[in-house]
Amino acid sequence: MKKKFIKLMAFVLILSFVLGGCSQNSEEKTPVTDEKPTQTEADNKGEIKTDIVIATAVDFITMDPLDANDTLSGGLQRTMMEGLFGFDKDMKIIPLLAESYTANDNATEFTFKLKQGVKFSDGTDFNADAAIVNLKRMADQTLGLKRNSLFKMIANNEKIDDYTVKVTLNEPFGAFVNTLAHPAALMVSPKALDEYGKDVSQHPVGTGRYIFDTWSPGEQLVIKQNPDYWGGASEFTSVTFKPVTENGTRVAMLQSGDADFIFPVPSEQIASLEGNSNITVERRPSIVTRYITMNTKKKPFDDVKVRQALNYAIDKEAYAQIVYNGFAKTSSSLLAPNVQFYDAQKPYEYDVEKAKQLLAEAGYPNGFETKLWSSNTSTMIKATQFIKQQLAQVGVTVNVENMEVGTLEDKVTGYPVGTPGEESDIEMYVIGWSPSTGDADWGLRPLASTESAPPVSYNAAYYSNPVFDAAIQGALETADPDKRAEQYKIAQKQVWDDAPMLYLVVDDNTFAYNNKIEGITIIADGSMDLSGGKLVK
Amino acid sequence: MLRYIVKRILAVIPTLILISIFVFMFVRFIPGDPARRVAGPDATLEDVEMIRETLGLNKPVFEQYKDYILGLLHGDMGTSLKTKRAVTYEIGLRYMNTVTLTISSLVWSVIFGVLIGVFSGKNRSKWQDYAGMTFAVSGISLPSFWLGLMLIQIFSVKLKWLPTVGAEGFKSLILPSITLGASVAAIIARFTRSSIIEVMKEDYIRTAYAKGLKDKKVIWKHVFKNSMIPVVTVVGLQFGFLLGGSVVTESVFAYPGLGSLLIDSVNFRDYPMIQSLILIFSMNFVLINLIVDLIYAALNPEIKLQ
Amino acid sequence: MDKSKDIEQKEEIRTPFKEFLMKFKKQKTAIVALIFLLLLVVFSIIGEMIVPYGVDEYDYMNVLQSPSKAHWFGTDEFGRDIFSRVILGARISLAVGLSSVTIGAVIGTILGLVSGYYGGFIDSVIMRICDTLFAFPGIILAIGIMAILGPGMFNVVISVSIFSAPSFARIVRSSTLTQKESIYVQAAKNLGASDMRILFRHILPGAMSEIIVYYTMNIGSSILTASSLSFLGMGAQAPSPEWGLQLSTGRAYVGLNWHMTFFPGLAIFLTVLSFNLLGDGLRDALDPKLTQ
Repeated sequence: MKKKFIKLMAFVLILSFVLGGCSQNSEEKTPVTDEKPTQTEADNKGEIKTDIVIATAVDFITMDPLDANDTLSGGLQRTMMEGLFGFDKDMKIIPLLAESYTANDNATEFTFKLKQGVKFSDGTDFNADAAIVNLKRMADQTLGLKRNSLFKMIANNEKIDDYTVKVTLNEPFGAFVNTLAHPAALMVSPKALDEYGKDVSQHPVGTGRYIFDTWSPGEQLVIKQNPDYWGGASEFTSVTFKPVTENGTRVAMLQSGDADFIFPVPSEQIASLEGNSNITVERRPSIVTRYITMNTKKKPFDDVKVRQALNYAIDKEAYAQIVYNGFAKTSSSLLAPNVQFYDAQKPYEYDVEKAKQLLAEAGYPNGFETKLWSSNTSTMIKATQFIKQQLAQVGVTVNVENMEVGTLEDKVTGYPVGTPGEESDIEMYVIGWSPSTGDADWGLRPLASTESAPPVSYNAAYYSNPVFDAAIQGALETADPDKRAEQYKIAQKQVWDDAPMLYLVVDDNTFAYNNKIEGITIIADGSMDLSGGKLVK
Repeated sequence: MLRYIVKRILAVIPTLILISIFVFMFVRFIPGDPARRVAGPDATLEDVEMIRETLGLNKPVFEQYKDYILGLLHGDMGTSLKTKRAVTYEIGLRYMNTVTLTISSLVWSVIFGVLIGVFSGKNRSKWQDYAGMTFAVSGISLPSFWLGLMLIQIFSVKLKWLPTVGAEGFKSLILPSITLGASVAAIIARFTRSSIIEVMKEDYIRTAYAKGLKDKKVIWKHVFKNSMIPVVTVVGLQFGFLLGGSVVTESVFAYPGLGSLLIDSVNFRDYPMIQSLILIFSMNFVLINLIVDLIYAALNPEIKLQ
Repeated sequence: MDKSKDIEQKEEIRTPFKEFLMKFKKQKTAIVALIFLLLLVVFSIIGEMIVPYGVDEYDYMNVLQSPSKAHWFGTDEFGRDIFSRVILGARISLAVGLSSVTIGAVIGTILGLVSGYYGGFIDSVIMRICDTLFAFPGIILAIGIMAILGPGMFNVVISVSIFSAPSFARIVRSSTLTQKESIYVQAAKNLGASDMRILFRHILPGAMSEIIVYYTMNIGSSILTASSLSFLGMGAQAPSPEWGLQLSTGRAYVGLNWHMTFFPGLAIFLTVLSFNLLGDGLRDALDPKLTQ
């Protein structure tokens, strides 16, 4: 009988293999990763490790720069492709494939001098023609790629000579160079665009330090050294990226040597790594600013005193400590300090008495009841509990609703364009914003200008102030940094004093690596920068 | 026999159509806008509308369903809204991973589950029984994320015997299979136990004992054989569930399987992906049911295929 | 309908009930399990009176403390007392377990009776729906339901009962099928009894023991399902002390602050174990073949 049972089990096994096999055959052939990912062999004596493994929290979505809207994909694309401009570690703009640029006074014409002697990894030359192919692709609004709209102001591209390009915009846009530093503006080999068409998203070819190797979605993506890189070949012969969603596992991978670099390190787990002498944990300020919007068109938030009162009622230091385990700094403007044209404001110091007094002045001596929306990630759940507890101290009863992201978005944006704030269901909403261009315009306009009320963009406070709007517009109409700075100063002060938001903190990016490597870092926008990556000898 | 199989498979078609309609409507009832999810956290309305058009989500629902079904008939499950890759490609990458993990978890959990079940059932109401059943209940009620993370801490971080994550080779399968199989082993153990108890009450077993047959022989020859029928049902059912992929185990071990793909697709409201995955899961279920029925027949010739 | 059902059952089960009690008394582990569960019920009723700290008693000076005299189970990330929260969480977890399985059992039983008794078209429709629900990955169903209805414990109850109804339907259906042909049902039919009467007076009592056993066992698993929903952020809402939610919050601290997952996990474990042991005991006590 036992035998028969075993036979049966074997039958089940075989059948399931057959079933699996069948469905496999009927699918497209999957690209097989023929090279096994190089396991950590650092422990082998004497051998220098040149293949490294990086564990990230989420999977990459696409390798087409113009179609990526996640910072992770953007950061990875930067290892293989380069734009005319890029960011250094502190998000300062640096020229990459452009040597220099000039702009006219009202920011409608930009002329770029290109770097000479650069080749794409497929051998194509990088020159004015290649740049124009890319600029045209960016501006082409019929492609339907996620980032096309960033470049809708490009009207015309003109080749002045082989290494000079003049771009004309259809409206003044002072932040154009920032936009060109965005990962969406990475230059793709014209030959690859030609050859692969839409599939360039699976076959990225650029001028970068690394070359795309293999990608098995959900499992790993491998890039390898570009020996002919114009800035000198990288020290790592290959880099394998693995998406590992579970925080605890990512930490364990670093501890066990299965990964050399992990990002992000969950703040709750940092303590467990800090005692390990083989591991370095680093923190760098991000540009993610966290705040709570208050619907300024609804009672009681239509009164600036109420909004300011709530700003005083929350101990932001404690918030950073409890919610982010100390890995965040209190906000000092709607912009994070690493965003261009940031200007520090006078903080709303934690002061329960002052908050109560302001509430009383506004006619709410006994507080009021309101609802607070947020997503349902563990950090946000912690955050909303903290806020609820803090506001209770000044008599404000907060009903927390943590929602799944898609549902939440529907609740916030599910209204026709032009719906006044009074008619929206939204009251308070905890959210974060990371301006991916690193520019003040993208850090302010979508969040607080009148035109950005949902569903158009993200002004969920329905804040509307002509001074602010004029300053934002004024800053865009010039390419002169000093004039822009002045305008953004006005805008930041206005939105800070009017307090349509309860300003909380700016996150830190935390990452960790073992003692075999150094120099890989996380830029403020949350993308990985491998350019300084070195082996420790 | 063959006629029976064909008949069974044909009977599945209405169920599948029902499921396809149900799922199609269901995913669209879930709040959340795929165009907005795909467009990303900082997209403007303009971007969202453009993406809606590119993805064909502005077409009438009936037309979308028609396109989907016509595609299916040609073996085309559509394109993932999130990654813009073919759904068949995305699923194909992960399907075998899930099958491998399912089978390896099932193999050990069936062996252990049946052994514990027989052991407990045979020694009913003795300490062995309680030990076995407490073990089994632990298997059900231990949160798998906890079990998985503990295993990683012990076997990968401390002992460095096994890799933390991955889907290559036997070694990387061990920890996920233990994690995934724990609850299955527990369920099988419970069912085996009660089945053994049922069978041991039957007259022919008492007769066997009365005839003076040895304990081991009675248990393995008579009791075991007859108590396997309900166990096969459970194994079949679990097989079906496991083929749906396990979200938690997959995410703990960063295992590229179908469970995490499903969750991810739901988060992105990736309609074509969700629809196709559920259709595949349903087909798995149906096929496994069929296999289970065939195994019944093999185990007990008295059950006629009807 | 329900009332008459109750009365009828009492009439019929009276003598077997005594027999059942005698047999049940012999099931020592089941009795221990029952006592534990009764204790939980007591906790659910008077929890607030016996716990040392409130459910929302924040103490930012004492976050993430290991178990100590002041805090038997330690404190969580807000400095709240985990012991108190585990005790107070009993109410929610028990309520969810009991109510969702009860709803599922009632719906499933009715469907199973109708399906098995009438057969034919109704039967195939009900069974196809059950098949669909079985094949539908539970997680998707849950996410969908929770997304449509919004998160919250009431909706968890609904979605868990939708899970459990099909299994009850299957069990009751097969029991109905066998009883339909039995002599007493045929006799009742010949005497002109209405379908309703036959179903609820004759067939249902016959299926009762299986339903009771499955019911107790299912409570455990529905507590687990509810916990996993909380775990996925779709169940109980913070700061509820629901065990699953405590467990999922503790997940971030696994490895460093073990007590955050251990104690709520232990509570779930013991409760599920107790319900299972109780179910086993009941089955043995209800089993006519058993003559120990």
